[in-house]
Amino acid sequence: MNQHPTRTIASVSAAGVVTLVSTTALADAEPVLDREAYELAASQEGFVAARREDMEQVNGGALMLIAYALFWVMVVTWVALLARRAALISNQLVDVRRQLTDLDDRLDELERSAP
Amino acid sequence: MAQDPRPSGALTIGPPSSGRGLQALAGVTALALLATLYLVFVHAPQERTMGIVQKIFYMHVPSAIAAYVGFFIAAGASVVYLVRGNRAADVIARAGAETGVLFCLVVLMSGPLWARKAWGAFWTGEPRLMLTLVLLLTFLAYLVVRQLGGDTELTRRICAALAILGVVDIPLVRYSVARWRGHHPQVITGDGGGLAPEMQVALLAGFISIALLFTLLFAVRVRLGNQEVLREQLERELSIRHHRIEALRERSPSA
Repeated sequence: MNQHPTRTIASVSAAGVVTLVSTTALADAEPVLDREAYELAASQEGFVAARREDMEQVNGGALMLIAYALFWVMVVTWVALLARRAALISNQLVDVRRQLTDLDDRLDELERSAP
Repeated sequence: MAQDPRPSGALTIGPPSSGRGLQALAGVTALALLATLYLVFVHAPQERTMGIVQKIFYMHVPSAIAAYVGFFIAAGASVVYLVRGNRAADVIARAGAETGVLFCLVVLMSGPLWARKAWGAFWTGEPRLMLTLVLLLTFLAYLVVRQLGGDTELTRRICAALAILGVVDIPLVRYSVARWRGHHPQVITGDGGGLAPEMQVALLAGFISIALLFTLLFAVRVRLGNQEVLREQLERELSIRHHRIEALRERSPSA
């Protein structure tokens, strides 16, 4: 139980007044960095939809360059994958052909030696 | 005795494509692509409303046509495969599907980059975008089934059916803008406003170079497919010879 309510109320009120006065003083002292924008905002009386040209400007040149770069990356990657597969299958063909030639030779020997 | 290890009666599939012919085609394609880059970046003017990002169009539209051609080839060859069981048709179908997927990826990569500038968003629920995505996913499924299903008759038949079903989506992509009131531009299709003469030259060059690139990649893929079939045939021949050797050994164990 608070034994000195009047003193508490007075203390809280005093703190509130000091805070209010000091923040107001600070706000007044804060310099406005962009005076033009500040005045524009201050004079604004309503919200209006932006025009297309006022909206976010996207860098079209960068997007176009990314598109063409990705195109070339995809094509070169595709060609590299095809070349790798072609080299692999080419090696496999050489290997299988060699095995076939060996087997043909063995077959010939076996057929000659067969009674 | 040195025998030709090539199995008898094999290898009559696919278009004849010599290595030298492909090299010449690769050279012409490279030159055409460089000329197209010059025409797109130097010769063609910037578009008044969209600015420089409109230049994506010269690669985007020909790639879309190349993707459609690849998918139509895949579907047509799939029909032939299902009717006649012709292995060459299957090789052509797979080559068409793979090459079509590459160009469809180019379309779905370049389109959103243009849309970011023109529409303010990379992707929207635009009918043509969604249907093109469905087209890509269908043919990606084709490739995944081919890869995971192994090279069996059943896999080839399932994939043939997938290709035929997938290609039905192309007319929907084509007419989606008019039919469902999409926002996709119709500059050279429908009632579009046309192109400035310098832009027409750049677009024509784009069509020629992408057509050459498509032909090159498709021919290389068909050649690769033919070699894969040849390898399978040779492996079968290998197996037959092994059995013959075993049989001869059983007849004369001293050999």
